[in-house]
Formats: sequence, structure tokens, C-alpha cells
Amino acid sequence: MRVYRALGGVWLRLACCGLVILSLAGCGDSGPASSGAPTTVRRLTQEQYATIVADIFGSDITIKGRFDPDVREEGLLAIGTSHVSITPASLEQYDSLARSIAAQVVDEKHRDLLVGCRPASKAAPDDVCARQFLSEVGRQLYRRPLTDSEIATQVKVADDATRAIGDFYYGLETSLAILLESPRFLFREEIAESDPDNSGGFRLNAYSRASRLSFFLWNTAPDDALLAAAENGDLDSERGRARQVDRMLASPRLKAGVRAFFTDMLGFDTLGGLAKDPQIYPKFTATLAGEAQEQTLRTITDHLVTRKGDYRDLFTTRRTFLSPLLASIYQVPIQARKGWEAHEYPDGDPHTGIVTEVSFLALHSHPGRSSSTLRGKAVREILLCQAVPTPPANVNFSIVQDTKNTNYRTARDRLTAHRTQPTCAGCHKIIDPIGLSLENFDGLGALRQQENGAPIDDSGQLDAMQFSGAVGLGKTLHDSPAATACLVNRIYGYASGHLPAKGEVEWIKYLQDRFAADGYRVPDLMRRIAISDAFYKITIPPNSPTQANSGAGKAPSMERKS
Amino acid sequence: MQPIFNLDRIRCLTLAVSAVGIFATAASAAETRGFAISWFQPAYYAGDDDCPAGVSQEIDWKEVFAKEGKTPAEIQALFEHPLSPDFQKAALGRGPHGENVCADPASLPDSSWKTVQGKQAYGANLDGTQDGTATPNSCTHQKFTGIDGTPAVDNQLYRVMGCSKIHRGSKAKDGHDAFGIEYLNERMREGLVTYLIEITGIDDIRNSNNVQVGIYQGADPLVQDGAGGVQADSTMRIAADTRWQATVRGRIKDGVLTTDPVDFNLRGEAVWLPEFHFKRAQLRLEFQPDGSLKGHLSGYQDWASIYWGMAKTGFLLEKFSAGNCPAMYNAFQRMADGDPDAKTGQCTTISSAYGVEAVPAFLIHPAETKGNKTAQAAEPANTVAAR
Repeated sequence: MRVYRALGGVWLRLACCGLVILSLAGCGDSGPASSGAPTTVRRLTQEQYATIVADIFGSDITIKGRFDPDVREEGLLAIGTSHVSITPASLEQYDSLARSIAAQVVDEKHRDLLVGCRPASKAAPDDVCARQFLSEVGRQLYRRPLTDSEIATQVKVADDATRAIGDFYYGLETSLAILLESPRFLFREEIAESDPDNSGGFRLNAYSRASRLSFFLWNTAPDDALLAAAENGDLDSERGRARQVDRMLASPRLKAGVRAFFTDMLGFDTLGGLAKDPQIYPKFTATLAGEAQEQTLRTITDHLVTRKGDYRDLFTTRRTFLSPLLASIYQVPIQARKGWEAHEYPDGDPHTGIVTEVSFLALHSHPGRSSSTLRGKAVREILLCQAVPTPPANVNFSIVQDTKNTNYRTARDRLTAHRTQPTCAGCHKIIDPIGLSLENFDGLGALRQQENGAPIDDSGQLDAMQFSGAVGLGKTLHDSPAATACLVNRIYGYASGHLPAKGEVEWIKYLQDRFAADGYRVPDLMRRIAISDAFYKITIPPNSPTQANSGAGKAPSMERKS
Repeated sequence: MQPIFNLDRIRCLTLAVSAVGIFATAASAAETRGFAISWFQPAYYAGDDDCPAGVSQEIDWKEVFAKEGKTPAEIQALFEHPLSPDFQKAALGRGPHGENVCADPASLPDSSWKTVQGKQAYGANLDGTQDGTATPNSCTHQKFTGIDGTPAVDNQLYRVMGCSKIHRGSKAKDGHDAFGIEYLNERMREGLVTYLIEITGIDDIRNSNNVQVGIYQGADPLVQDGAGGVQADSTMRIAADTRWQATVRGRIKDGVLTTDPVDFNLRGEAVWLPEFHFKRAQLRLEFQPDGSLKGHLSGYQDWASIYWGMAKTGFLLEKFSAGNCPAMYNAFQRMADGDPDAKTGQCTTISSAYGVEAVPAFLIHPAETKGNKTAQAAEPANTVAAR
């Protein structure tokens, strides 16, 4: 691609585009140079762990256990997973899980299908069969081929266990359990190598590229075709990557990837702990949080993936999906007795976009009342990527918490009084006017016209833009360059595991421009990121042991197995 | 700045839905509202002067057995196994010729059943008289004064059952907490039966002088909310069977809905009453600030069905519910005040009242329901959803 850029001319691009065999991405410019960022080591999320196990062994393998919670950094768990370890208690969980999964894989119900070979004797070691199974499964679990040394170790473990018990499958089970609780499986370890196109520079090696790509697009480990592409060098070029990326974007599994990203970006991990006062919000039940999340994720994937819609329209769309429980909260009829039903609100309805869904409105409210402050803060931080300072420790919240004070019947009244405290005014000034536009939705997300008998004023403001109600807020977010820029930042951070580094700023700006030029189509943005060289560029931090050992630009590299 | 939408207007706009859930754009001037009944149980008051002789007690079986001529030793033997078939046979077979008195209650003249002596009860004036004088449609009976002061209230079911031990609730709970009357309500809230109300033609929720009220069996179980109540705003289907559907003219005045008398049937539950057969029944329901309804359904019911509903449990009724089959039967017969038999003059129905609460719901009419006036043939399937 750099050759294309060096040669530059428009004629070349046109000529290039005339070649059917070349993808669009292979014809366009690759954008400004990017420095890349250091490699990351990210702990698998619980969902990724479960998906990988299901991918390899099937969905009937039961996974019982709960991992340590992930840590959110810079707005994303995907970045936080780079900075977490495994606690002793968690290790016990992983160990228990690994043993349980391994036992199921080799039990009599599954062994013929999942092991793939039969030992000469069930009571004695069979190195050929053990090697075949462990090599194959190990490649999928480690997301790269096992080294000869690793295979020999795993086979020896299986042999020793077989001899000790007199059961070949127990031997396999023992060795498989070790693979399943290995850091090589539990952590997404990225390995850099010298970049042949950039003297002195580094890039992810092919298997790390495959992993980054797969977790980005599908939220799971690379499949066999992607690992094969890594093995044969297809992922070394944009064109080769484009073939794999296009295959993956065309897969139904793209929805899983998009869901995982928005689950992270929208902070849905906290929905599980959502609590509401049942006396105030009797429609809040144990199942509501899950259904609220599902509604928004269905809305998003339907719009972005199925309909290939404009990201900005997520803030104004009237199309959504409803369960019977959610329909009762939104006060609309539903034909479905269970499950989900597509629904489109009529023109003029205040339900517009994902910020008017329960997943946003209830999550960013208090247990017994709505919160313009929390909602405004969420819009700033989650949708616009803007930092809001934490409140000082000595704030007096008595006025805003007293919803029965007849002097301050509405949230606007209470917040107006609260803002008279100088220490509070600064922050509330930038967040409350956003959230106040959503005051026509109570703390659960149901429509209301009054609070304590007083009519609700739903006027709002975001920076210089003044508007009315949820419809106005949705349109303002739709037209906000900050919202689309935020999405690009977040999706890149999610995919790469780090905040854009200083040397990546121009590349991110370029992505933002291209996102706009592409009609704000998220799959197009994902494609552009996934096939780019920039996505896989690595910088080695000065004075790092790696750098010190790498000599003249030589980075440690996992040996590619032919 | 004022809200740019109006919730009531939105509700109007959502009245008509097509089979695929697409909203119609046209909205009629009149509003339709649907409701799911969330509370339904006999309205038995608990006045201080209702039962001066106390409430019913379990029959003195030793006395019964002695009257039957059993020796002390035989009685002692029976009491060694008080739930045995022998005990039950001896207990129920106390008719003059050994008849089972629950199956043949008329065989034993027994006027010992304690009836309500108080002056107040829930209900409505069903016979139109001020003093309970017999009319072509009613038998002579005593009137109550309504709890809210309504004069000449008829509720003879309460008069019969109000001093039954298991039907007598506490004053603190306004009589609602008696096991015998909670039973139906609890089964309903668990999902056994669903009753729906639809009010169409509402011009003004406070005052509309001509509305149509539909009373329907629901096809979907009630949904419980997080606070243990019935979830409002659920979508409920109306059962297709026209036996459980009725419509009646009504009016709303000062936020209170009242209806003309109407006959209708609803499915009940096995223990209390498998089927309700209401005659000349009236609704009086008041709109609450949260959009729900609260009030009473008053009407005549076939008293023999109520008796048989309870008496079918036989020994269980008499042993564990302080019942007395022949005494209760005779009390029903004496107190029955509606629909005198053309030949005997014995009234065949009894006035009653049921407490009713209903939460807003969206109602879906069955696709093809013959005889259903609201879901007309010209409309597409599942046409009308109302809240």
C-alpha cells in the first residue's frame, strides 16, 4: 500500500479500481502514517471464554463459574482487560472450569466427536492420537500453533496421567485442562515482529494480527480459516487481510462482535447490578435489566448490521424491538406473547433513539428517581467521550434527593436550587441541561408528563445547541461531530486495547473523516480499521526489556510454524 | 418550555394496530381504554354488628354422632381417625335416612346457619326497590345501606356468607383478608383466569355520557410486577369464546363509570365457583389518579351454583372450613332474592357484590369472533388494542 501511496496519482487508483480482483480497500489510500502503540496482554472476558469453548467443543459443554469482574478504563472494559491479572481465588475458578470442561470433552458422550481419533487401547498411552488432539485443540486455544516443545510437554502430561490411572481419556483430560488454564489461553498475548515495510519499526506478528482481528469483528478467537491465513502469510498484506475481513464481515457472527463492542461502550456490564425500588417502579423485575440490554443491542445490530444504517440515526431511530415486559413500560401494545417483536414508533412519539430506551434511562437513574445529572453525565462520557469531573466529597445533596419537597416539585426545580452551591454549579451546568431534556421519562424509562403534579419542562441544551425533549436531544446527538468522533475513538480503543497513542492521532482523525465519507456505516469503519497496516503497528516503549533485547530493531517474535 | 407531546394523545393514537403492529395514523375523537382486572373477590364487609352470635364454628361431631345413635365407644373409635372414610361417612350421612347432607342438603332442615345482622354492605340497589318488597324479578328481603351511604343496597350473598368463619375478614382490612374470599383472587393473580374490561367511546375521562363497556375473559395470564401486584400496561388478548364476552352501555360521570344491567358469564375456578353466571349485573368503577379502576361489580348469581361449588368439597367444607352443608343450603334458600321460580316462587338467584380493581392494559380482540361487536368482520385480524 505504501507503494501505491508513493506513486500517488489518481490514474493509478482508477486503474487499480478497475481491477475486479482488487477490493475497494486495496484501492484507497491507507491514511496517514501511524506510530502504533505497545503490544497488550488482555485477559479474556467471560463472554469470550464461553464463546471460544463453544466454538471449539460445542455449545452443549456446560460452563459453570464466574470470573473476576473486568475493570473499565478510559470508558472501555476492553482497555481495562490489559491491566488485570488473575487473583488466587479466580485461579481456582479457572482451574475448576478447565477440569470441568476437559472432563466433558472426553466423556463417553462427546469423545468420539470431539477427540477425533481413537487410541489403540483405552487403557494405555497413544502418542499419535494424543498429539493429534492436543495439537489441534491447542492451536485453537492458544490462537497459534503450539511449538514442538509445547506439544511434547502436553503429550507427556497425557501419557503420564494415562499410565497413572490406566485410562487414555483421563490422560487427555488432564492435558486439556492444563491448556485451558494456561495463561496462553486466558490472556490474549500480543507478539511483535519486525515490520519489513518499515525499517526499524514493528508490527504484530501474523497470529497476533489474527487474534486482534477476530476478537474485534467476532469477539472470539480466530477460526481455522483465519489461523490458516495467518500461517500462509495472507494477513501480511492489506489485500490478504481484506479477503479475511470481508469474509468475516459477511458472517452472521459480525453481530456478536458489534454487540460486544456496544455492550462495552454503553456500560451494560453494570446493568446486571441495576436495582430499583419496587414500590416506586413495580415494573422493574429481575428480568428487566437483561431485556433492556437485549432491546438496545437488537436495535443497534438491526440498524447497523442488518440495515447497514448510519450510526447517527441510532439517536433518532423510531425502530426498535420489544418484549412484552418492555412494551408495558413503553405503554404500547404488542402481539408477541413472549420473545421479541419489531416495533416502530409513530411520528411525534418521544421515543427516539437508544437514549430513550430503558437500558439508558434506567441505568442512568437512581433507584427511586430519575437523574438528569446521571443521564447528562452519561451522554457526555459515553456518547461524546467527554470527561466530567467527579463531584467534591462535601456536596450537600439534600435538595436533589428530596423529591417530596413541595417547593421543588420537579427535577429541574431541585437541580436549579442545587446549582446555587458554587462548588456544584460548574459541572451541573454542562451535564444537567442534557439530562433535563429526558425528564419526561421516569427513573425506569416510562413516559410521564408531570412530576409531583407539576408539568415537566423538557427543554435541554448541549453546548450551544438548545432543544426540546428527547426528540431534540436525539437530533442534537445525531448532528454532533463529537458523537461520531467518539464512536471512532471508542471502536479503535476497543479493537486495539489502548487509547489512541500520540502517534496515532492523525490516523484516528483520518478514520473519523473516512467514517463520515462512508456515510457513518460502522461495518465500513470496522473494515477500514481491520485491513489497515496502522491497526497492527507496534511501538516498543523506550528502555523496555523487549527493546533492550531486540538489538537493532529486532523484536521478539513467535516462531511461525510451517 | 412545555412538553411537545401529550401522553393521552399518544394513547389515542395507539388504539388501532394492524396485525403486524403498524400504527394507524388516523385517530378517532373518542378514546378507548382497556383494563385487566387485578383484584376480584366477593365484597364482604366486616361491620362490628354483623355477627352478634359470632361466626360459624366446626360442627360438634360428637353431638352429631350421638344423635345418630352411636355409642361412646363407637364415637371414641371414630375420633381415633378423624379423617378416615368412616368418620367422613358418619359425619356427612347425618340425614334423616342417612343421606349425605352435602349432596342432599334439603334432606335435613337446619336453620342454624348464622347470617349477617348488620345494616351495611357493599353493593348496589339491584331490584330497584327501597325496602326489598317482592317484585316480579325479586323476592322479599332486607336491604342494606351501602358503605358509602348508598341506600337500599342488595347483597344477600354477603348476608349468607358474612358470618362464615373462613369468609369473615378483619375490620382493619375491610373484610378483604378472609381466606375464603381471597382464594379466588389469588388464583386469578397467579394466572388461572383473567378478566378484561374495555371502555370505548370515551370523550372525556371525567364525563362521558355514552360509552360502551366490554367485559371479557382474557386469554393470557396476568403478569405480576416487582411489587407483587398485577403489572399495568401489559398487552392482553381477549378469549375468542363468545360465551365469555359481553358488552353493555355505560356512562362516566365525575370520573365514575356505571353501566346498565347486563347478563354475562365468566370462567371461575374450581373450588369457589367454576363459572360465574351474572344476571342484571352493574359495574360501578371509579377512575384512579394512576389510570386504574376501583369499585364493584354487583349482580345476581345462581345461588345453587355457589352452594354446589362449596358443597362439592363435602367433608372438607364442614371439617376444615366451619361449614354446614344443609344449614348453608337452607340459608341460601331463605335469603335468595332474585328471579323467583314461576311455579314455586322460590328465588333462584341471590344478589351479590364483588370488589373490582383493574389496571390499564392493551387489549387485543380475537381475529374472528362471531358475535363480537367490537371486533367487526371488516377489520383485519387482531385489530383493536386499547389501553
